[in-house]
Amino acid sequence: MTTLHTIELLPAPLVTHRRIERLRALWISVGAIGLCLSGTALGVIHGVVLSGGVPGVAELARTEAELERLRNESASIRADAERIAVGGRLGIRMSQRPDWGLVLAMLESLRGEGVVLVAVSCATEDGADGLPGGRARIIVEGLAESQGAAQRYLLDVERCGMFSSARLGRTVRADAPSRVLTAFTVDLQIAPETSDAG
Amino acid sequence: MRLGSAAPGVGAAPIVVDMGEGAVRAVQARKRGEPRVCCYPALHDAIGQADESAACLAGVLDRHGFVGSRVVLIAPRRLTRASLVAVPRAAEGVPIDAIVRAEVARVHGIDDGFEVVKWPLPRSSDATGEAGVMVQAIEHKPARGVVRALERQGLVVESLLPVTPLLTRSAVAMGITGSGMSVLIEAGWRDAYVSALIAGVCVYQRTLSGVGLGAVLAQALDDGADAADAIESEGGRLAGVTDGGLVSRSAAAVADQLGSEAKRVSEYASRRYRGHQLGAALLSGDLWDVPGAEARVAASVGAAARVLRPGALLGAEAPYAPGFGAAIAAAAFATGVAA
Repeated sequence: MTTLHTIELLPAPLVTHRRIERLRALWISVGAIGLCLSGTALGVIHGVVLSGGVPGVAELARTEAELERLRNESASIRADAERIAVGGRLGIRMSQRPDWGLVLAMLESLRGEGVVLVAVSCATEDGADGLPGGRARIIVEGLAESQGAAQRYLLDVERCGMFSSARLGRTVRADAPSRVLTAFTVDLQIAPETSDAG
Repeated sequence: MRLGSAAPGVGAAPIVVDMGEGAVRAVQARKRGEPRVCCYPALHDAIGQADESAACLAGVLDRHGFVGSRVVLIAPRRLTRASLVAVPRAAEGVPIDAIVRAEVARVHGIDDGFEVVKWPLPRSSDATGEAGVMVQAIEHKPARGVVRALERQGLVVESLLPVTPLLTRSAVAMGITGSGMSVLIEAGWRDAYVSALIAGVCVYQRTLSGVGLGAVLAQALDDGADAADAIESEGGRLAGVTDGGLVSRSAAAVADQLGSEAKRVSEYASRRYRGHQLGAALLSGDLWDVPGAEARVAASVGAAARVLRPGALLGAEAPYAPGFGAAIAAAAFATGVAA
């Protein structure tokens, strides 16, 4: 018909109307096909996917359940590990507690002539984590024949390396029946060992 | 086969329908063998009784084994209007189409919508600076009525083609127009049309109302008898009418009149296109089936007369009647076997 279009007399409004009708029919067809495809897709999803009929989806569900189980198990293990860690820290702290017998023996051995120990009191503090085995404080009360003797005792205690700090407390004059003595206190501290800086 | 059903007609050529005033013809080309053809008397007015005419056609097509629903309709002759329109030379900004349409509407008094086909005329020898176009127009309303009536019968009119361009194109395709002048005489049932062709291009057309064989016979039959019945009584076919009988004598008179009109048309064309002399008269229409009609025209115009039989364009071997000219030409062009 290529040669005939130049002598075509078909009314233009008729041709236009037909084109519109064809387009309308085409769109209706496209719409119908689209609806059919959508319906089919929904049917497949509803009938197959949601019912677990697709192997991949079932596998996914199993994997998800396994992951959940592993998550729970991991939480349980983490709780156990935490308990074990607390126990471990407690053991360490307990092992770091001062041997009071040794401390008293050391304090007594360092006492030179001219110094007598009147009283020793000990106290420990809980650690920052609430566990026992923190810092220990020892207050030594004694009498020295002179201020210098008290000072020497303090230096000897300091040098022994057992205490993290040693500080001379109050020194007061004390009258004895035959002579004048110096009453003194020494404030000692034993700090727990830190395992590492980080 | 139910006409209009899609499956049996898939891939089939369109059915060319020529709803003439005297006869209705249909042609459908086939890939192998002769085309399907049928012809029957026009029992209804194709325009005024469009629905009855379409229903009759659909039934005939069905019974004759035509397949498919695609139709190429030859524009009913009564609906087309020919015009020669002078237009300014084509240049940028010159609204040639608008000028042509305005002129056609003015000349034919068309108020409503209409379609036109036009072709440029060769430059005439009395060049006045104006160019000319030949126009065939058809009004939308009656054309739509015919098309809709066919559509109601399940037929789809894909094309509506005017007769004269189809015939001139087929003549060019058959190589019988040459570069000279020829006249084309379309002898219809009621009216006739005489065209002048220059190198196969229609440059002028004259409508001769009431000179068709049917009209002349009707005038001769003053007792009110039907012209078709007269032909029937003289053998049923124009090719075999009784020599010396009413039909034969009427046909001779019509042929003489058309011959003389053709001569006048050729003389007018010769004045307008100097240097062109009439080479041949090309004949189309039922009239030329009547023995002797062809020779009478040749004698009147003083040139060879030849019935236009474009069946060769379709590869058909049968000598189809001269009335099939437009339908067979359209079938050849529509199927692409002729260009």
